[in-house]
Amino acid sequence: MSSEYPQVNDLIGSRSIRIDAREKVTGQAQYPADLFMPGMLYGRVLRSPHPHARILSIDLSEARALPGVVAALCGDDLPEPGLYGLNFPDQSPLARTGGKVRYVGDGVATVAAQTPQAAEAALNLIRVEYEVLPVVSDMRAAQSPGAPLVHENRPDNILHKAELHHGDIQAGFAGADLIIEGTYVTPLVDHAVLQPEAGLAYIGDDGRVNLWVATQWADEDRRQIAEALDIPKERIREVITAIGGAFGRREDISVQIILCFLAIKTGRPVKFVYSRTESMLASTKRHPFEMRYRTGATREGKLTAMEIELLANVGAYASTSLVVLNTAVTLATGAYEVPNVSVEAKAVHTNASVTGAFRGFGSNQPNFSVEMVMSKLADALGMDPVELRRRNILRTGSEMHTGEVLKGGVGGIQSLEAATARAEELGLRPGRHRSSGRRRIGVGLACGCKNIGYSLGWDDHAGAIVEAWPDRAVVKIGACDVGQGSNTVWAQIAASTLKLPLGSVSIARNDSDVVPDAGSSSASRQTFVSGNAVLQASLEVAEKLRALGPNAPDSAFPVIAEVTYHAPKTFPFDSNGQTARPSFGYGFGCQVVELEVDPDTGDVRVLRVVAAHDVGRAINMTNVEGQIEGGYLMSQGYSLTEDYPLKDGRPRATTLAAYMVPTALDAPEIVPVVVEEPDLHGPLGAKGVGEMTMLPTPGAIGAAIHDAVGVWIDELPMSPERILRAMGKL
Amino acid sequence: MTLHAISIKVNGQFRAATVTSQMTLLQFLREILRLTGVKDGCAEGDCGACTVIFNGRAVKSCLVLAAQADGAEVLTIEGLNGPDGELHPIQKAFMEMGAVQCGYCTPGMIMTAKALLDANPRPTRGEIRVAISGNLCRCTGYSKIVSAIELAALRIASLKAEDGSWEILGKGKCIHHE
Amino acid sequence: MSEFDLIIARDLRHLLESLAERPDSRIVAGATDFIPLVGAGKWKPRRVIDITRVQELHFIRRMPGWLCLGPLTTHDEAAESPCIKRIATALAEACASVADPLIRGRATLGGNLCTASPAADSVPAMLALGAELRLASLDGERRLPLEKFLIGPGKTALLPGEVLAEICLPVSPGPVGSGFFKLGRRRAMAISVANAAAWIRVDAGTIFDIRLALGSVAPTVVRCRKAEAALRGRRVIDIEARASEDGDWLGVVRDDISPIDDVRASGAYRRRVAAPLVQRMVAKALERAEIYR
Repeated sequence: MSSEYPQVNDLIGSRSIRIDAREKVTGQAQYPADLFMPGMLYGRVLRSPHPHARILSIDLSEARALPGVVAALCGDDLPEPGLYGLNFPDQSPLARTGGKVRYVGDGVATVAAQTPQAAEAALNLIRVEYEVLPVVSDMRAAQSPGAPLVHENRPDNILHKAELHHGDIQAGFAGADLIIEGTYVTPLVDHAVLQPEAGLAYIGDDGRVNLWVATQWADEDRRQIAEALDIPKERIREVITAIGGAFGRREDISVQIILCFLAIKTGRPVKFVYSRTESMLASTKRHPFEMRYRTGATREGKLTAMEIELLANVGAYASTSLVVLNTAVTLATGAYEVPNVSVEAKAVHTNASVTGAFRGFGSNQPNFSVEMVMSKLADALGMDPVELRRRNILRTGSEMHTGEVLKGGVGGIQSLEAATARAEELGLRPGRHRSSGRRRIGVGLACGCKNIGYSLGWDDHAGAIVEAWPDRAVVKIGACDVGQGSNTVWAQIAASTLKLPLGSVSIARNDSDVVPDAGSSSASRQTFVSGNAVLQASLEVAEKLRALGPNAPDSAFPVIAEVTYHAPKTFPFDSNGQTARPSFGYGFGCQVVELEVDPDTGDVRVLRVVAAHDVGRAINMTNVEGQIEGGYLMSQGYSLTEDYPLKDGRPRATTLAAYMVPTALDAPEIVPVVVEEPDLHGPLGAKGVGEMTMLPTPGAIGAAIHDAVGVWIDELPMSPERILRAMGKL
Repeated sequence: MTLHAISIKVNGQFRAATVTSQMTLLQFLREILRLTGVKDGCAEGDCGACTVIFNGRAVKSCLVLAAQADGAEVLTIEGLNGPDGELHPIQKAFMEMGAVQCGYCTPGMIMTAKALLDANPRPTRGEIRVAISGNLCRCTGYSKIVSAIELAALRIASLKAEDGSWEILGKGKCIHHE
Repeated sequence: MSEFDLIIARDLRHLLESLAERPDSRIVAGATDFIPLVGAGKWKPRRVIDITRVQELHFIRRMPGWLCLGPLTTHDEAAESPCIKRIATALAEACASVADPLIRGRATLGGNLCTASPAADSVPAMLALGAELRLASLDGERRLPLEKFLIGPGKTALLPGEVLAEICLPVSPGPVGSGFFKLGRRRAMAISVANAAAWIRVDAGTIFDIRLALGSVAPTVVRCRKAEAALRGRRVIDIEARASEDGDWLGVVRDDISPIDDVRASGAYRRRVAAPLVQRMVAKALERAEIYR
């Protein structure tokens, strides 16, 4: 970094320029598809056109015989059992004779060829005989006795159940002056990362397989590749390239196992790049939920009871569904204190897209329901929607429905007050119906709460190495910068602690041979967990440097510290969903949305948004704002326009033309408000923000639509059609 | 199946090749010229990551057949810096305003911004949004991208005002590509 | 993409000769439909002729009684042309609503017509404006009203060896006004859920002539003839009064449409929004006719 860029003395909380910005604005940043090697082959995968089928035979002979094709393989060529999976191994990258495919897009066979055209032609020469099986397309039907089994080695299609009981639910309802009930539904949605999945693998001089890929967790990739291919994890080196967005999509295996498999089988470098359609078909999505909420409150607006049913669609394979469902249970009452709660949650398999991690990880769906409930309660009680939330929002000392008593770092009320204050300055008042003639304008508000870190007893940890010389330092850490700016955060923390200019701290290439595992870039955990590792290592190095004094010889450098930071201990549920501490921290947010509804077409135009999020401490102010703005808009898409519909397990469209991600003309002016309520354990008080930014949006938009045209839409997306139907016009 | 001998001026240099009828300009730039700054996000015109400047206009290079581009002038992100690596005001503004997160939409956004500011040196925020409406971004919510383009417009205008001839005058100044 | 032979036409003569030699050729210009459709395997042309260099097909000409556009006119050129904005406002608005600026700079009006999607945005505008087309081949030329050119989803009346050579919009003596509205699932890069265009000629305070068109609500773009008949000859002040009320005062529009369910919207939704869209465009066209009096 040169002196072109502004020098900031106090780095923490600054607007330092992202350290990888220059390579990105010049086009020099290398994403996996940008890599080329001499003798490189092109890999492709044949995918199932059927939602559910048994493989009777796979004939690769014609494909193998095509000039330019170097390998054609299927699941029969993998070692047994050859499975992978984040929660447990239930998924094969390729199909076996006699095995099954369980969703449209499930991998069947793979080829490696000298040109992309030959690889494409080879796929068309693979002859597969499918026995089409009945499709399990509906979560309720999937649970009925005699339903076809998605996985035959199980007694039924229920992957996981969880229950929670807190307080006395009957007494809670008995003490309520008002009880409301509702059903809330959320759809399958796609991350729609700009960079389709891609990677390159080759066998190094030492005979190990080298994989260059965009991912969220290198160490976990290597573990799953090793397990599926039955090779030692040490035989796999993984290097992380620039990553074009993740949002949870790159948590699951995509190209990794196939690439290593092809590289090993052919002995040649192999590149595999998904097409956009392939990316939409094959990769994970957000869990659709069907939720039933029965809620009791006093006439003063105090919540007394919530009886909750959560039904989550796992799709064909487990992925992280066990943890997603647990997260949903942990956050089933959203940002509020409810003294009497019961939750029954189930995750059910269907022959649909695999659902996995997606920014929010099972918290978005219950939060939507809770916020709609709160808005309806305010309306029924004739109470200001802000005041109702004020009376119930979690604070320091609140007892959550899991039994945890919150000790500190709780920014709920602060986000609520910050959002409403800023909104007031802009003339935005939630729930004050503003329609004049043809223009139906509404303002809505909602809150949200998301946990930080893996939670529920997982040993959440990260390793970091800091190496320093008198005038520079290097941070080595296996944390993937997926675009959120984590590399810049490490540089800022190290530079600030070591009193170096930001430009003198570099982050080592994320190479599994060199850097320690830091866990995934997910769960809004990196700043907290890896940040603490980097901070502690930097402090140790600073101490060692001080001890060396000003006249240390060259041979004393670099001064090195390696730290593995373990986040504060958390505990799993007992059989009633109770635990002293499911998570070590939470982030809160509050959003106010102003929108206009066209009463003839149901079209919604979002006009202005205020989004206040409690981040503990902003290490990089610009990047925190960027998370708020980006997270809001992604959630606006979730709320209004995004939908990945299936008909009997078949996706109706798999292009970005059909999948309506918001464009610059759909985005409103977004006013981010950064709330800093220091966390007790986060580095310099910082915690996380990445997922929290999505949570309040659907509820705020739902409240605003009601404010504008007087209808409640309980299903996402809140499409023009649903709005017209609710208005009685359809 | 026909082959076509084409010659395209890319980033100021004539580049020649023989291509198939099906090859797109995007594939020509990335795979034959190895200009991997031009990104492939969908290859079917829905995301704008592949945007380049083609005969003075921003176009989605995945929607141009390479054979159609014979004789054309193309500017990619790689051609935007000055010869000594000096950044263009748009590139600087994107860096400073936090308009870059994952960076995948960035080259396409910058080229669209360049074409916009060449044609309309003082766009409103609304005009900027229209101009980039064909470039998807999933990370930023577009706010800081719009602000970066606004800032770049101001900077370019003031550089032009200071020095009508528009050359490198030292640190902080950038070359303007006509 | 499947393989095809590609010829780069040098000029109109070369184009017509190439077409005569291989009448099954598909023509490509802006390629904004061509590349995605061939890439997805929906079109499988064996021979393709690029016409982007045929300058004779690229023009905007104002002639007595007509505004004539070459098929290579891009959507951007049509949206920005002062002449089209003034005389054929609905077309300028329709072109400005298509896709995004990057595509508008390449996609041509000829391509939009010849792809003949029921959701094409320029079509309702051109239909409402009374467009006639000139088709040329090596053997000669013929003229066809636009309504007879579009015969089904993806189907035109082009005969083998023919190319669309000119789009002719009649220019009426004033006052006239026209308008176009597009309803999509988002505000850019959206295929229309429904779109509507209206053209009205006013004389002595009455609706002297009127054409209304709706797209994405039937296998081809449709003229709403019943609604036109209901409005023709009516007093402008009566219609302006109705137009400012809410309600379904042009509900008869529904008799002329047959919308289907697709991934963008249901037939029921399209049926419901058709009348409000046309109503709004009638109001807009009248407003503009007043301005240009």
